[in-house]
Amino acid sequence: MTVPLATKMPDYSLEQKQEVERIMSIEATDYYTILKVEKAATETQIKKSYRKLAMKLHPDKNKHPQSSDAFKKIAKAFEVLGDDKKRNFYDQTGADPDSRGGGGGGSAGAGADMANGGFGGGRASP
Amino acid sequence: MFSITFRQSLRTTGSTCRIPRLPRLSLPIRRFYASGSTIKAAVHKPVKVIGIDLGTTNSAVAVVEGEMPRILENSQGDRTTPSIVAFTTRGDVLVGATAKRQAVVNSENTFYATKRLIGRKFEDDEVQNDISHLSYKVVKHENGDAWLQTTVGENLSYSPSQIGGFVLKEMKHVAETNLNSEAKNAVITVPAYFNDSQRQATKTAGELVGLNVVRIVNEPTAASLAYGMNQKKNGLLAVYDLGGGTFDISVLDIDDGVFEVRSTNGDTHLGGEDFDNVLVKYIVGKFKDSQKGDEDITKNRMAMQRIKEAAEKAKIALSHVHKTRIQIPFIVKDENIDFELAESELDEMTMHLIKKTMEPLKKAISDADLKRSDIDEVIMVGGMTRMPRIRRMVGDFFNKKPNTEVNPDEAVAIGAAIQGAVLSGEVKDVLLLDVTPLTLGIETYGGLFSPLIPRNTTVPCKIQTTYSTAVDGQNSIDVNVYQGERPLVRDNKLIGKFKLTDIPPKPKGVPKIQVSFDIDADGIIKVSALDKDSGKRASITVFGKTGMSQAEVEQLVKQSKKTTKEDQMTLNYLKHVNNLELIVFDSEQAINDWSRFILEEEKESLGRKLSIVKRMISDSRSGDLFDVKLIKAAQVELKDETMEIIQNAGQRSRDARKKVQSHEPN
Repeated sequence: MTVPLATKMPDYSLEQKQEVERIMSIEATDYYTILKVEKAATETQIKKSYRKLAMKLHPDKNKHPQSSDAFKKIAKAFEVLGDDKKRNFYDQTGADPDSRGGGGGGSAGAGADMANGGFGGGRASP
Repeated sequence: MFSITFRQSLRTTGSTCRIPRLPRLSLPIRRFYASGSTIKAAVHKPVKVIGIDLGTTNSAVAVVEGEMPRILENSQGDRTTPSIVAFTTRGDVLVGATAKRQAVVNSENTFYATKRLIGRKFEDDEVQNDISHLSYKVVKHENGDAWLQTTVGENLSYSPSQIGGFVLKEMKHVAETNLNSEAKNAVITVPAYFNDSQRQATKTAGELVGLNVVRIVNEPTAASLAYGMNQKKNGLLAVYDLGGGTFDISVLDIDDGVFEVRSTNGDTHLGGEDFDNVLVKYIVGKFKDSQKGDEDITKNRMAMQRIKEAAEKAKIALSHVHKTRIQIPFIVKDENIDFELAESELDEMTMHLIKKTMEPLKKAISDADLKRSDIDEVIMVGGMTRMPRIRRMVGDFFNKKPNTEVNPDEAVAIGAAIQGAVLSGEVKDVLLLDVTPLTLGIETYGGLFSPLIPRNTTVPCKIQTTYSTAVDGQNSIDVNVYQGERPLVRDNKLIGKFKLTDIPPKPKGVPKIQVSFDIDADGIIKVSALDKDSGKRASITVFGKTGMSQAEVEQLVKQSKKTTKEDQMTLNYLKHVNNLELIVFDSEQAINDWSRFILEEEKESLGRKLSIVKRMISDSRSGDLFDVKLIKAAQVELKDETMEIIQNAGQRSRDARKKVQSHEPN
């Protein structure tokens, strides 16, 4: 008897669908492309572009099954480009400044990140 | 890949671990549907989402209609409803003003400020500290949570969620009466600084009464929506929210309809109640200084309740005038409380509380990477912000006069309604980007807290980190998920745990365990762990979850169903019955106090009347008697007769004293 709210919520427009697909096709660390800004973009331009994309992609606004993932990508991109220090690091290395492991999502050789410590509590085999 | 799911706020759809809801219609709705002719119109209406501000002392409900939000009035015509729930000896539940009115005669079963206990453990310092101020009994539930115990019936105990549920149900009812349609979906607000279990418990409260809680929204964030809808101004906004029980500060960046929370901070146990408690203590001290008798007034629940009410009243008055009189006649026997209190005195005695809000304020500003002077506008929310000293302090802090355009009591509910309309698609050009208020992380070796998602991260978000084992040959790991800002997990709040087993034994530090945290827009947190080398699926056991088990929730739903009665007529009637009982108490007390000077025949006559009236009271409560006129008449008759007897007794006592004096040698 209760209709879940979601079924009555607005679906997504073609534009919203295309935007989700565009974001999802981009490499996760290609922050400038994700946020649709030039490498020389000012702080304000970056912010404006992020806000505009957020309005289109946020799952509250966009019911596309991948909208949440797409939003997480732009939020991550904004977190880096919206912060002077992180943006600097990224501009120089091309890597996610928050990732303490290997660079650029590469998997080889990074090993377990001992900086993060190990888990306790688990029992070794008797 | 294994994952567990625990939710920070209620999902809109989905099939996993959903707590069953009660498809229950309240009375007017049943009538509404029975009328038939209007049912068609109801079906074609778009989905309405109401916004509920479930406050510590007062609650409010609002809805957006035609892009305009408005507060819905309750049946008494009030725009807010006291968050008070009382249980009568008859097994009825009173909510709101009716519950508040009978608090003096039924203080042990009148539950107020329970939001301060929601989602908390009995052993928490805050709970232990509150117990000394509360007129009702707080007990430890099997799961360690703080619950509330009544003295009526079989001494039933209730969780703070259930009490919240009764209030939510009342607000749902208010909405339905106003909208003339069922209000099923709701956005409910919580203090921004609430942790996961407090949010969970609030959501449970909604589910208990059959609400579909589509989102839990932070109170200051909601207030910013109310402000922003009105102002349409871009810029940096600080929301200072000091309510009945909690303090929040949020900093938002508003830009073309996007409300981005930059940071949030607060104290989930600081609010008007604390100010009241300080004043109660002061009044008690003042009384004791001049007390003639030796009764310990703090042991007298009824007297303490009256003092509490007087304290709250005086505090509110001092927001508008510089001086007020605290007058409580006959607080014990023939002694009164009567003195003047100045605003400056109140300021001074509560200064430590006002100052307590400054630290979170500074933290919020620095977390947002801002300076105080960057803030374009400051809004004040919550009843306590009417206190002039608080306004001055905040004004001085920001070097800017706070904006007073939003209504401190209504802004939160209005904002919740706006967010509801955003979620239903009714409001299109607004987007709220909220954050996680507390850092999320896991326990690593030695009880250290390893943060994964820092506080003030915009949701939805996903973060992955690689960990390893701490011991050679370790073949399993415990993933304990905590929320908090302290470096040791024992100082933070455990919100969930699971075990990753069957890791191939290797030297310590070699296995690569990838842990990901994923929070969606509804605040649902998913934590998963993966052994990258083996990629092997091992079993996961979720050991526990904060809050209540499903069976427990079902039990509670049943219980609330049984004990709730929302017939306004009955409530009203019982209010009169309670008043009558109060008069009975007064009469008995008076006979007792003046016993020496009352004639036997007077005692007999009044005694007869009292026993009849008592019978009427118990019959009314058992449902055998329902006659408002009779009860009202009994009130008048009993009052008059007692008054007369006391006057006679007074005369006799004066005569007796004269006699004694005239016989005394000079």
